[in-house]
Amino acid sequence: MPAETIKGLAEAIGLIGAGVAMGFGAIGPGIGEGQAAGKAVEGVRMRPEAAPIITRTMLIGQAVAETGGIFALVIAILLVFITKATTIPVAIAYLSAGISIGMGAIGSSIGQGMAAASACEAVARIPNFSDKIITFMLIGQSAASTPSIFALVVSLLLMFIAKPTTISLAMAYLAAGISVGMGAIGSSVGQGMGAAAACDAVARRPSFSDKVITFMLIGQSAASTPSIFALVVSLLLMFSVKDAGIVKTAAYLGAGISMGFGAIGPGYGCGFAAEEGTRAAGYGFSKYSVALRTMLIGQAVAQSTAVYAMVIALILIYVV
Amino acid sequence: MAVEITGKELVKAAAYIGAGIAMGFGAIGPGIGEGFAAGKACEGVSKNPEQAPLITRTMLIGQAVSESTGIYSLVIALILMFVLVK
Repeated sequence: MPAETIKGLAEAIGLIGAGVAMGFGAIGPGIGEGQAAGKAVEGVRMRPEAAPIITRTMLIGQAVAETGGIFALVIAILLVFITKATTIPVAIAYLSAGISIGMGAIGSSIGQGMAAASACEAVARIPNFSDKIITFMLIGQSAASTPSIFALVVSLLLMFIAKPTTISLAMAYLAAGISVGMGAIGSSVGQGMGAAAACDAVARRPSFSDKVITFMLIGQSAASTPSIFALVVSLLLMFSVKDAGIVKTAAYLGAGISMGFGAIGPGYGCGFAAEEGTRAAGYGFSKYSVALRTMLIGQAVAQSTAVYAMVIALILIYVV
Repeated sequence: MAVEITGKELVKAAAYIGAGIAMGFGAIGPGIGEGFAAGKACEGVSKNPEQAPLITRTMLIGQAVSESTGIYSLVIALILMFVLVK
């Protein structure tokens, strides 16, 4: 291929990365904020006199749910105006940066939107507790944003630190983007489910709020584990791989796919357990330790497939 | 590409990508399903704390069954990585 064509192709692949970042990155905020808006409309219909406080809750929740979309926008703008790939491997790293933040933003915004929707519903039911409900919403939402921050960090590393020189290394970086981007989806939706249950529970029984927040944070931290596995595999793929032949390159790609997709289900499942556990804490029954034990045992079992996915990914990177 | 790729290498490469796809997508279902069971167990225990051992046992049996496809994926991935590729 003539040098001019390769240059053009490289620039084109980098620009596709910008499109992937913003296109996929816009999914979550749209869904999440829409859910919050729907619940707010429902609340205002049932309790028109509480409209200002419901609207305020909605706007605060939506503003937080927007963060993933803004991360994606920033990366897309950087990819369009700041970075310019001149070689194909560097272009693939830019594409990977787009995949990472695009996919990584989906889950956190959906999860944060779920929390915002639940908070709007709760505020409509008991407007007097709005301060406490909004506080719980914000704590839960900030926990749900961690996976998208992992994705943002990996995106920035892929754009400004990683400068692959060969196709093999570029494919390892592509796998890194897939791993952290897809791996963020399940965990952040799961954490959002826990946060949503906490907003609901605190409005029902404000006196049990300390138990509710304990269950929410423990459940959320278990739900975030798969995204941490994905981040670890992604960092290993960026910083500990060597240039190799086609077979090893395929193994790197397989590792990224295994860990990225493998983290979706466990994150989501642990979130479901966190949701029900948090709700149970809000009922204020006497045996908290029993409920906490059940939640943690269930989450540990649900985590198993993420561990398998990580084992397969590590074997693909280091053994085969 | 200037580098010559043999058919055997191509098969190996495909097997490794296949192992990743098998384990990656295969892990989605069990994770969601087992979490669902865990959530319902939490609900059950909170409503009926004295039945906790029975509920936990039922949860674990159900989760063990829903784990099966995850283990199939793991087995297939290991076969693809270590048995087929010699």
